Amino acid sequence: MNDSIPQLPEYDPHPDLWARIEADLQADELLSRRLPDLPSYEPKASLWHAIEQNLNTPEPTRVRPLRTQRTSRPLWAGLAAAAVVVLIGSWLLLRPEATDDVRIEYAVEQTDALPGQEPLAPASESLADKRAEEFIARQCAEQQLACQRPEVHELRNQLASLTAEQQRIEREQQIFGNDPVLVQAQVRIENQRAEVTKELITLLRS
Amino acid sequence: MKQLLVTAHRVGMALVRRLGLAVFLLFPAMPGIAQVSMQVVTKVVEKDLPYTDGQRIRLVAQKADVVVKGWNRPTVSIRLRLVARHPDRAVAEREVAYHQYVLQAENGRIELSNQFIIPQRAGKLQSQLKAIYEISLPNKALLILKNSFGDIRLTDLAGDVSVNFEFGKLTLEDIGGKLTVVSNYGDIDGRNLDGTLTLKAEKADVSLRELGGTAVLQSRYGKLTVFPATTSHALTIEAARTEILIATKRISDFKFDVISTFADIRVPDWLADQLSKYNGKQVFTYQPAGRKPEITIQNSYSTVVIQGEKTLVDR
Repeated sequence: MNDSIPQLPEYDPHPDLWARIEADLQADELLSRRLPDLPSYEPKASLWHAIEQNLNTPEPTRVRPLRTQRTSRPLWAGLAAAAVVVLIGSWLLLRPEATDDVRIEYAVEQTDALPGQEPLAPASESLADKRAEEFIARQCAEQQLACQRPEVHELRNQLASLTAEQQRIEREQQIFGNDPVLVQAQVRIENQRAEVTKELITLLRS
Repeated sequence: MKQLLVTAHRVGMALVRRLGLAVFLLFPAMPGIAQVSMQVVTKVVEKDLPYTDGQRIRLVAQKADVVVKGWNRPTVSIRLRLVARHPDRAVAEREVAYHQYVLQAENGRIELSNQFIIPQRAGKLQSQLKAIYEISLPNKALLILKNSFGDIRLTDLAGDVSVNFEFGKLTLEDIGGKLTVVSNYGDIDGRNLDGTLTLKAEKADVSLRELGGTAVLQSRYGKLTVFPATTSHALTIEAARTEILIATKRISDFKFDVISTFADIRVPDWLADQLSKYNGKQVFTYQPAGRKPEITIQNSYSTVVIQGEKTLVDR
């Protein structure tokens, strides 16, 4: 437990935080101080009487027939309404097709390799990566002071975010397979991770 | 004589057979060299939408190559190509349908987007899917663009453009007005930018040629190369761990105020006395006579190089 505390990320509070808390506290105090100063108002003496009188007058009830008598509409009105519904409906249904001009094109390309034929890049953590991680964790446990230096701290944060990014790309690869753009992204992250790891190990060794 | 000919023929045939066998044996050893026919099935969608001044255009793209060009017609013209590639045409044809798109005007905004909807039962995708946008829009338009894993190219725009992307490359050419760029792992190549540029890059290689106007560049990790133009008003760089190169045609066209912590500032020899170093910190201040655009740089842990006209001779 004690070993893991230095590994936790550090966060600095927003510089205005104390000022904000203080302002909140002061506002409460100010409110309670100013409360007695507020003017008080008495209602008019006749108010209750007036309300009572209103309550006693019965609401007039109105009887409405359950169903209004059917007025006879000519047949053509119904037909016209149906036609309008059909017209609007078909317009709404066909509209996107009418404005988007869509077509399918076919072509054949010659490429050097089949997609997916290339072996998938090694899983996120190779053995060397694991060793590097262990080294960093051990070094940080042994020399807590060195590990608290801001530059080490920053690099460890970087490493964590790079690892998260790497996992995200692996998830994308689960869906899209060995797409070239995803492999490029993966290579980029790997290189960056390698750089940060190397720098971090150099810092922790010195 | 005839016998000799026959012998020669036999030897020749044996040679061909043996060579043929060798060629045959060699082939499976290098499968990468083999050419493969890829069936490319493309759904092409074309649409024109009328544009009114001040209208916002939002493009949310995924795995897309995007080309946007400004023109002086009050129309947004879109050609969207949804591509599926696979050696088997039937597979490509089936999977091209996984592309979904929206191209429409909605609540006074123009919404453009694409995404991939892969049905559960279909399992893993077999084709290579990608979307390609070719868009022409009024050059003063308001554009918000988001993309990942694809290349973006913007040209001839002078309105208000905001780009947020990751991975892939952003190419900018002849851009004025207001431009905001946020990049994660995405490289940027700009030329002839003359407006108000705000750039925030993480782990990106950024190169800006003929950079004029007002520019604020923030960068963490990566590289930043700037060729400032004399039309520049001010250039501010707030960086950390970024390799910075400022290449000027003539160094005395600009004022400099450069601070670097835990890394060197390199300047031409004749300006070495303007460089001071103390306690892991280096400061370069240079103020030529007259009113000159100011270049302010802050960086840490990575070198800042200032080049002028004499650098080539100095080397």
